Amino acid sequence: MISTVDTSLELIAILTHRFERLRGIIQLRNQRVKEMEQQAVCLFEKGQLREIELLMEQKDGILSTNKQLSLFIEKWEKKSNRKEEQLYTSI
Amino acid sequence: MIAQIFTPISLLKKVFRLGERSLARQEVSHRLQNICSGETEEIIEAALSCQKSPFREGNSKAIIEFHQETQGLSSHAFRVLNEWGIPVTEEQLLRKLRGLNLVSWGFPFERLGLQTDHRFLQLSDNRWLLKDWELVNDEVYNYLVQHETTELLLMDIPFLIQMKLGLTKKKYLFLPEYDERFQQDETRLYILSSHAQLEAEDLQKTKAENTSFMEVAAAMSQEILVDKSKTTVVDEVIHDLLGSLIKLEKRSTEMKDEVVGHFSSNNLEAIRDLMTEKEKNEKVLLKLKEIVDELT
Repeated sequence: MISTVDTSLELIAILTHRFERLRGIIQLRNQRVKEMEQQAVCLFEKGQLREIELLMEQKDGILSTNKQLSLFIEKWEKKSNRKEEQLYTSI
Repeated sequence: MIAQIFTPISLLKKVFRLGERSLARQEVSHRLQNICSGETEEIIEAALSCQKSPFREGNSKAIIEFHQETQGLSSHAFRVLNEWGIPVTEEQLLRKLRGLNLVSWGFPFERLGLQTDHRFLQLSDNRWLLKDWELVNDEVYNYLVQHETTELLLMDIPFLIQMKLGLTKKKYLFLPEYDERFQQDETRLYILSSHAQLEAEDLQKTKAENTSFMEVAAAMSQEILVDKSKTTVVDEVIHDLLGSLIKLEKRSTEMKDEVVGHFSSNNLEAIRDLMTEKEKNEKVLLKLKEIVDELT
């Protein structure tokens, strides 16, 4: 029983670590969006509207993936937290 | 000589023309070479590494970006410098602004934002001046050598420059302290390199030259006084045009913020409109600058 609990706790720790990494990735992608804003200003200075449009599409892609990733973390983190609570209760 | 007179940031400001926000490093280097001798790369690096420098490397090292910011108070600093027509120290400027009740006693100079404002330059001795002032050391030197003058009163220099170059009093910059060809004491300016040549000549003759020159200068001062009343309207027009240039420049900065907003809200149409406006602005800016250059 104890070894099963240990394994489950290890798995939960790995999952928590992965969620953290995913959050890090989201943060990096948000930073990229910020950089894109500056890039858009540079393109505006050069009068490259088409490139701004492409950048906008790219930004939308990043933002929608970020949203999906956040929802994913939220959904599975809740489940893993519940599992963790159950495990501690059983110990 | 220029490289010793101005700070590296000011030298870079000098090479960025009105409206330019980013330039290729090579172009910056090339333009620097045109205005000063010496290691241009060192100047660029020094300007980039300065604390609170408005210059940054772009997406690649090959691009130098000029992040201009115009603070509200800098317009007062601009007016004061324009009015005085001479380079001033930070303390002198703050004292004047305090006198006008525009800043408090504890107001830090950095908050005036002169470093990030394209209209202001700084000398190596930390004094501030306006970018559109022209350095006329060479012209003064050539004129004095041509007229075999070895010394003259400092107070006569403004008349000489106006007479020779036709520049308005507030538009020129004569800095003998940075020029090894000149030496000055409290009242007089001495020309050093021509001194040896002229040493053998009759001192009396030189004195006579000086006297005659001073007479001409005095006569010119009278003429200038008369001219000044005639050109006041033109001066006002130039001043207004400069005001318009600043307004257009300010609008360019505002547009950048608007672009970020529209980019975030995916409003491409608004960016297109802004781009059209920007193109129009740039055209007007260029034309105005041509007129101002021509008139001044």
